[in-house]
Amino acid sequence: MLKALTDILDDIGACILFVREVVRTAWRSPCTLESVCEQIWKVTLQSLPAPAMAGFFVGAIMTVQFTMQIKAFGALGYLGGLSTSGTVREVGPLLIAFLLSGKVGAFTSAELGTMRVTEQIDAIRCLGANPIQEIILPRFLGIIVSSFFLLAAGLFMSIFGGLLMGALFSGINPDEYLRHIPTIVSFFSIGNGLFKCLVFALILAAVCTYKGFTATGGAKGVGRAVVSTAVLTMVGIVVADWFTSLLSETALDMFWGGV
Amino acid sequence: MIEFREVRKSFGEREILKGITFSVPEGQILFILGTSGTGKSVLLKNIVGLLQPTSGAILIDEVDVSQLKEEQLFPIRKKCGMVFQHPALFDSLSVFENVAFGLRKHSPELTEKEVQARVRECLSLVHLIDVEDKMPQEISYGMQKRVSLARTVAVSPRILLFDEPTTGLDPVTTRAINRLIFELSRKLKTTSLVVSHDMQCALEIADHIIVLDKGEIVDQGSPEGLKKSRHELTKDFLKEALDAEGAH
Amino acid sequence: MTVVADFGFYAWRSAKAILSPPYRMKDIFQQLEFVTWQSLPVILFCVCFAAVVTIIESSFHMKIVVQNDALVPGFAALLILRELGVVVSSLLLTSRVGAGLAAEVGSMQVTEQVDALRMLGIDPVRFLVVPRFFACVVGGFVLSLIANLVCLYCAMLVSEYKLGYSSGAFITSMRAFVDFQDLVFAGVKGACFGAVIPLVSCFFGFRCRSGAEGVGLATTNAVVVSSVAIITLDFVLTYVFSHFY
Repeated sequence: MLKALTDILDDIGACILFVREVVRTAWRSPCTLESVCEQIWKVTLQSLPAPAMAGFFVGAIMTVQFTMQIKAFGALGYLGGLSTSGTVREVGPLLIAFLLSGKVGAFTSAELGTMRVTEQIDAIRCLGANPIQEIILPRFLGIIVSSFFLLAAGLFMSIFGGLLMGALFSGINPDEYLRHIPTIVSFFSIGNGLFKCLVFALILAAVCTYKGFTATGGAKGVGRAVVSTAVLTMVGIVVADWFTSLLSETALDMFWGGV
Repeated sequence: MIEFREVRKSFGEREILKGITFSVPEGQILFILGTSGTGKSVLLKNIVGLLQPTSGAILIDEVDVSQLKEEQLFPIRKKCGMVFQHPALFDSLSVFENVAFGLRKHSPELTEKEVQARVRECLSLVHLIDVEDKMPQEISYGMQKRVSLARTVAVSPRILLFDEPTTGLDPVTTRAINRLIFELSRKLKTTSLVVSHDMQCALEIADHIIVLDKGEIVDQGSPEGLKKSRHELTKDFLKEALDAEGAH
Repeated sequence: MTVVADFGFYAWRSAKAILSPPYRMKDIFQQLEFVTWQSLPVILFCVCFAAVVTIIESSFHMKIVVQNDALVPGFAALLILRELGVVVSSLLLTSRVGAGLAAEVGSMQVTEQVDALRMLGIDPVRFLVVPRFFACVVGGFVLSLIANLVCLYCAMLVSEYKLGYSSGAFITSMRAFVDFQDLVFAGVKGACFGAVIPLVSCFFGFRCRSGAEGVGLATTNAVVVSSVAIITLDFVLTYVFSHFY
């Protein structure tokens, strides 16, 4: 049990060192913009349905849950605002990012892991190219950008999910639902949600490239890399979730003196 | 003993086996030779129902196995022992447990002592001692192959099927495994079917050789007969084998 | 489309195998140890953080809506018990156990161990899926209960330290919102999600194509499909349970 925890800490440290290496490479010998755009296109296109669907259902679930509670207080009018705010600020980014850690993260680490165990990465090195510059950097940047977009798309879909369930389950008409969203969801909340998405995207990109790049041991090794990518990303995301919430709360207190 | 009648097998659009007909008499060793991707392994897997042919019949002891259901295949599979291309040892079990696994399943009436004795006997048949408590990943690849052989013969099958038994092995181990196949087949009086691309091995131990190309039988005969064959592919195989012989 | 048909056939076979005793208890317990005990540290670690975030976020909302944070504990407990505790722990279970199963079964498939089982007259579905299924259902149930309780406890500590509630006040406020049946529902949800994971993961494992690429793809598919299935199922269950309140 203790070993599992120390293993995770070990992994996190090694991952940070790897990111340092990637950033250093980006500084000294950047990759072409073209290769980054290609990655963004590829990742966004192949992953779009999963986070969109998850976002839709998360929004729907939150609406159902909130309805049951708010009804008791007779404040059903607030439903649109409350459930959207709850989804956009916390539950949405967290669950959709979990899903992306499977979709984008696992896929990338499987791809890179396969390249590693079939010695393609060694081959690149032998051809005199830097594998971090050629392979890792475009993916790293591409994943950050496209995961951010995917998360934002998921959040957008969650509003629709909430809207639909609001109409079907709670009997709130869409106009009313939408009208109450701005009363509770401020720009700050949306910014907060998007900031979370950005941080999660960073973590996702760092973990999956690191795990894939350091895979060893044949087909089984690739499997192992994928498993640990998914686990490590989720742990990272939960910790980052706490950190960003804390940060935004502090920012709120400092600049606006509370709401 | 084993008979193929016009067996065809396709995966989607691609036809892998295009009407294969041959038979193996009891107690013989048959080699099926061919380059990679000609459907040799597919042919072998059809015999025990791991794959089912698209059309045609496969008879084992006069029973058509090509249309049987999974449960009905069990008695057929009991007769056949298959040695896979990979050692296919269960990696969560020790060497002893691997060999004992099928034995316990097939003959539940055996006592623990009898199982132990039988496992030891089988391991000594493949010339392995003192590896029983090791895990599969702790022994060399050649040894894994032998354990896999021992696991197969442990249940005393009457038919032995080998899927590229020597692929990926060094020349020394290749010869050792090859000799082992011959010894086991003769000692246990089994009918053996070996899929391979090693003509040298085939010439040494086969009773009959079939050459397969693009899903069709293009040439066949006894080792002596095949040496005089005029078919291009057979000649290529023979040349390889003779070159290897010369190198020794 | 063939994937859906294949899955239907496979699910039918699994269901038959799952409903026909005898079961190999030793295997089930072995898997249970892997599923439950070895996943516990990661899950507890994550839900503790999730609890802290929930408190922070609920206090944010409560300040807006009711201008004070007296209802925070209740609101947070509600969010944890109804959704976060079980979904977070199940998704973590998916990534750890589900991906692990797909990789394990997938590499057994490509190294022909699955064929070897069939040669010995053993149904691979029965041999591999059934023990894992039971282990995951029980594990999902137990983990969901533990995760929820620990998460609530964490939330209580945080609200005491951050918002200055005594534990008594926290529990009073919590009881106004949630009931014992919420914990039961959370457990049932956990068990249902637990059932999804081995079924989906082993399915993709059996379909695994050879090579490192195949195993990677099988694992990825297992994680994605189980995660989406869990979130969808969560919606269905939430809807069903909403009729019991």
